[in-house]
Amino acid sequence: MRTIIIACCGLLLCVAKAGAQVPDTTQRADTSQRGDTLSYDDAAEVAYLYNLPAALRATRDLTIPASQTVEGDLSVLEASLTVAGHVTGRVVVINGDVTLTPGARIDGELVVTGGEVRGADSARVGGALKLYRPVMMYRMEGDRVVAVHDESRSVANWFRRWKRRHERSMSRIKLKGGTYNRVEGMPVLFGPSIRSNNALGPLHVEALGIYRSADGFAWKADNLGYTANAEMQFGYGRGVAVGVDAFDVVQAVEPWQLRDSEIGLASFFLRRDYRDYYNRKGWRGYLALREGSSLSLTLGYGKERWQPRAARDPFTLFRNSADWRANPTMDAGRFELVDATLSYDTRNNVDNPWTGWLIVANVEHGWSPEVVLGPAAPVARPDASSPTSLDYTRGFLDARRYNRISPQSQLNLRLVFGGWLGGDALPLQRRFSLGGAGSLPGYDFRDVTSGEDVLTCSDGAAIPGSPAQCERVALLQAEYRGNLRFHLFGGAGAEGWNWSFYHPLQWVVFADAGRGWLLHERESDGTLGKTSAFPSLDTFKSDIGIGLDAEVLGIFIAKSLTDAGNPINFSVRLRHRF
Amino acid sequence: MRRLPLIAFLLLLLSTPLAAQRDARLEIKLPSASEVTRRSPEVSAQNVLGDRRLEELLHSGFPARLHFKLELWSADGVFDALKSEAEWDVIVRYNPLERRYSAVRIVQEHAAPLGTYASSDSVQAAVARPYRPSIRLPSGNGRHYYIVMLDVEMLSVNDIDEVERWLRGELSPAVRGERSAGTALSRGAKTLVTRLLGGRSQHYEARTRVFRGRE
Repeated sequence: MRTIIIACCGLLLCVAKAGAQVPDTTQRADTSQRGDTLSYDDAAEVAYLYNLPAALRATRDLTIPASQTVEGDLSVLEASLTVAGHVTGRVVVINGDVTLTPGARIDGELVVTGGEVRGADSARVGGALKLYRPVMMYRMEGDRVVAVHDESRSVANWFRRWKRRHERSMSRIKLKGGTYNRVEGMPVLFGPSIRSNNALGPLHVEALGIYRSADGFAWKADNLGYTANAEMQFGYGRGVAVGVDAFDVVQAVEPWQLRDSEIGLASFFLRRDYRDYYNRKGWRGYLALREGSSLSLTLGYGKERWQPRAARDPFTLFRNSADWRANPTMDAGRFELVDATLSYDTRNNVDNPWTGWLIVANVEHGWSPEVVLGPAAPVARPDASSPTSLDYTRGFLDARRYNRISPQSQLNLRLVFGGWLGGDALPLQRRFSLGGAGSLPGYDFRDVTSGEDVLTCSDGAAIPGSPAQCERVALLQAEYRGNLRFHLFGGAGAEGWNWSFYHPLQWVVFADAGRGWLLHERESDGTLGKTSAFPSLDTFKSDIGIGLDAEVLGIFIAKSLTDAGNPINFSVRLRHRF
Repeated sequence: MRRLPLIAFLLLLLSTPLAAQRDARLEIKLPSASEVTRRSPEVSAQNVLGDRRLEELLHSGFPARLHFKLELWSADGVFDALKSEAEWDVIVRYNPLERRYSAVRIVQEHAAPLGTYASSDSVQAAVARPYRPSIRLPSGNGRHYYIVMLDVEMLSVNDIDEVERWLRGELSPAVRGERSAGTALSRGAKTLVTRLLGGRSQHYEARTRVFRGRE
């Protein structure tokens, strides 16, 4: 029995001794505290500990050598601490790193915010180790540190909401201006807009009245209109949407060539309006399948009344005494329309794409029992002195591919193809033209070229406003862009090189080729005959050009290749050409 | 019309301020060759808020948003391919009550405070500290390069209003229908003035050299 007791005592002693030999890290592990959060209470406690009388304070990087002993507490603010020696008290480091070399010794606790602790396993910390990784927010009152509330979470919450501000529920009165043009002047849109997010998806309702500035904001029917939309989407991001539009608006023909902002500025400043317009009044319902913002398919049906609009004389900043180009008289009638639009967008950046696709394809079938045809060239469509019925199908494709071919250059391509697909001749509202900054900048807008007119298909007929009359159009645009290297700041270095600038300035070399055509052409004997589906390539018009593009603004010069006598054209674009 | 090219050229020059900002630069630094497939590059933005107008706007209470976007491109094919990307924001704000600047880095849903500072120089130094974003790293032996873009913008009157309301704990968004159209017009005018005074965005880009995944 005595032997057993002695053996047990011996075992206990061994265990006790072994326990005494366990490194301090084991003991510290029980009391250590490491966190990715730092509450205000934690910060206040750290500030309190920092403000206690200390044997040594530092606001610069500090090293305690192996031979040194700090008798008491040690506090460090916004600096790093290296301990090789001995601190008999507590160590508090606010927003700095701590390095403990082997053999270092801290008798009290170690409290660190906004930094890391290295070497704790090979050193000895008598008290608890409290490590808060977030940077501590504080202000100084004399020598005292005062913790302040951390607004980062609130700011982060606000920022997340701010980024999604267009996607959240809201109701507001909207007041905005439309595109300045020679038919309306400045259309001012005003009315309520509501978006409500619910369990099924977002509901959007908007009803805007339109008041036009032409004729000095005169209160008359020509200056009034409206546009309203109600849409319910089932699902967020991916989903199915159903909606209905009601409208009485001035609609642009061929909006695909130039952006609204370019049209508005050219009209307001230079009295040059590069679009034609007609009035569109009616309603349209649609069903849309959407996959985020990259893919959508929209099917629509509507009834509309189209009417021609005349150009008026809105104010412009320059050339105010010059005449506006007449707005061509468009076809008039009540139409029923069925359409399908596919949109596919994989661009890495909408404003400044370097890679990806943008494809928009549309097919429209329209019919009307009675249409008053606007003036057109005899070759463009059969004469009709009295109203006639129309039943047509039209397609349109705008496909763009953006390619980065090196870190500082890209090759971009655009193909536009559109036109008649079946039925009767297209109404003027659905016809095409080329020429001008948005398509063939080497040719003037609505330029009636010598010989066969393959840009507006006018066949030489002089019609006020020179309307677009082509029934089909094909256009290929290519451009090579290179960054202009401004080594303004930085430069070559061992790890590579880098540069920076305020606006990415690029040089651009481009080429365009295209033409429009009718499905009939005048034979040598003066009669009309059917044309082939696709004209010979040697009849296409082409141009080349160069430019400087600062992303928000670009200047370009272009020269026709196929008509050597055409002068060099100069154009200014807002954002990239396409 | 003959003067139009000259006017446009001047506009182009105006839209490309070349050296208006003292020592402002965006830098990206590759890790060592042995670590290039294991660590992302370091990104730092020096003095991007150093412009006097930006400093004045910041000091007047307009928050600054620094939006970073890092892209990893492959340079192996005929066309370079975008392999991965990472985005983050830094919000810098001046609190006139406490007379201190604060900065917060926001990466997806996570917000990391960068500290509060008494001076503009101090907060700029905090913003300029190198940051190593989380991005899918290059693999294999292919040729790659990184491009980093930074857009600096001063948030508008509306945005500040929303900040204040949010910080006051109001759950409703700031833009509400109960406000009069006159108020909306007034806010719009203030925003326009803000933009004209220099509250516009500034863009920076930097890139690394082309490197191989295994060098």
